[in-house]
Amino acid sequence: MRAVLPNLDKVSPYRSISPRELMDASDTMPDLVRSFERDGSNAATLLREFMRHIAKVARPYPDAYFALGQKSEDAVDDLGNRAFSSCASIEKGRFPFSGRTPFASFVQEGFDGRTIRYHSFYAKLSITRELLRDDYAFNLRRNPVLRWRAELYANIGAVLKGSCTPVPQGRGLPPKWARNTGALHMVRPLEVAIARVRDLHTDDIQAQVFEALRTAGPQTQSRLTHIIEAATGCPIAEDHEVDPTEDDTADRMGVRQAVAEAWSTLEDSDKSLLIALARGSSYDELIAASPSLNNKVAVSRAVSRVGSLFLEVVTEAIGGTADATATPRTLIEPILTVLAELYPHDFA
Amino acid sequence: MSNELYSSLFDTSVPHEGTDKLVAAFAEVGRLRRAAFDLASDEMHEGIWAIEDAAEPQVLRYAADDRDEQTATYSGDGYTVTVRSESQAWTATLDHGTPGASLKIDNEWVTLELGSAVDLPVDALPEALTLIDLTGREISLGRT
Repeated sequence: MRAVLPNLDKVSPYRSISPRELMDASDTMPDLVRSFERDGSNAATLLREFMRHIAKVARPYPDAYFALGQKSEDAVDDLGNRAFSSCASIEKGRFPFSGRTPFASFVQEGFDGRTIRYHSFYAKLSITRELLRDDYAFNLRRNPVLRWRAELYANIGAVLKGSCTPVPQGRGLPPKWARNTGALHMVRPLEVAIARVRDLHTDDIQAQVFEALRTAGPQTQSRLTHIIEAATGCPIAEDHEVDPTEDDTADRMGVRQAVAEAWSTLEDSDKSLLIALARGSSYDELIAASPSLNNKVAVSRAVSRVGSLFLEVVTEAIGGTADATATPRTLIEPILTVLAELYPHDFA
Repeated sequence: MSNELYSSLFDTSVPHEGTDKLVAAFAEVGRLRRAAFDLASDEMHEGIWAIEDAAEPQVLRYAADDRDEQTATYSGDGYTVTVRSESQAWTATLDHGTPGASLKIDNEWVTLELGSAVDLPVDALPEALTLIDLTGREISLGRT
């Protein structure tokens, strides 16, 4: 039997890789941003760097945070491109941008690569995570399953504001909510709270909230939403597609014009009512913003004027009343979108 | 009473007629938009999906290096120290210099012995080391 020897010369790494390349550990991000800000050069390299980090940031997020409710390669690419555009061209008011575009801020403040990456990708409030938040908020309105979650969140909020006490967490965190029952309870893990809420066998949101707080101690509104959702399950089991009613009508100049014209015919109290309704404000919040609405006649008059002088006029202008398939909700969506664009301080 | 009238606009179980139906729909959509944004913002501020720490480029560089151990030599003012990673622990060995000198790592002091490896409380190869000799003089050791 003849032994077959391997030809090691053909697989020697020293012959195929010569001279040996050493990795460069220097941080290129600050220079890439600086040159892009100066004259637009190195855009492709900088975008490629963005894509690499955004792919990493996006990894833990579920489908609900991406365009069309699907976490695909295209959706992550889209996120990367939008984050890049946002850093390049959208002025941000908050710290550390102070009315500048993120890229301009990075250059003017002389940030190092780690700080640039922190504010662009990794911080809890980074540019990338803001976009993920906005996509998630959009999907929460449009996807039937997620919409149920948003409505649950709103219903839980009504219970909390009516019967519980907020416990500030500080540092920009949302408050936790507690019940002042006076009794001492052992705080149990969230899984126990989910099981206890499930064992209630009730649809009463208040009972579910109280049980969750009694079992798991003070919780944020979003955490309570997840506890109750996990315990009761989402009632919609099919048709997970995103509502095809997109906001494309909002791009039409006609809608903008109709909204702007109708808005100008309203009195201040009418506008206050519309703003309060769009924000889901309580009656007390409405009165605080517009004291003249502190009686039934004034509210009734404002409701009537807003309905006939604004909403009916605009829906007719966009052809909604002639569309047999249109529902009040599908007619209102584009109006609210245009209002948010025209009057972002009040509606966005 | 005015409160009831206003609140009824948000109540989907209350029937509305005429243009009030549009106002109620506006309230319903507004409430949903507000809830969706607040829920998404709450989750962002709570950092449910956020892992804020990004690995240092140097750590990434060494993570990509598949050699069994990491080694670097630091020297300055007659002292030479070798730092190496072995089985996920970092050690320092004094190759040249007076025994008994110490390395200062943050608030910890590590006393060096000639030719012997001692544990070093670092997670990655430092850019430089600070050595305190027996007279208390502070010497910066750079990578060579």
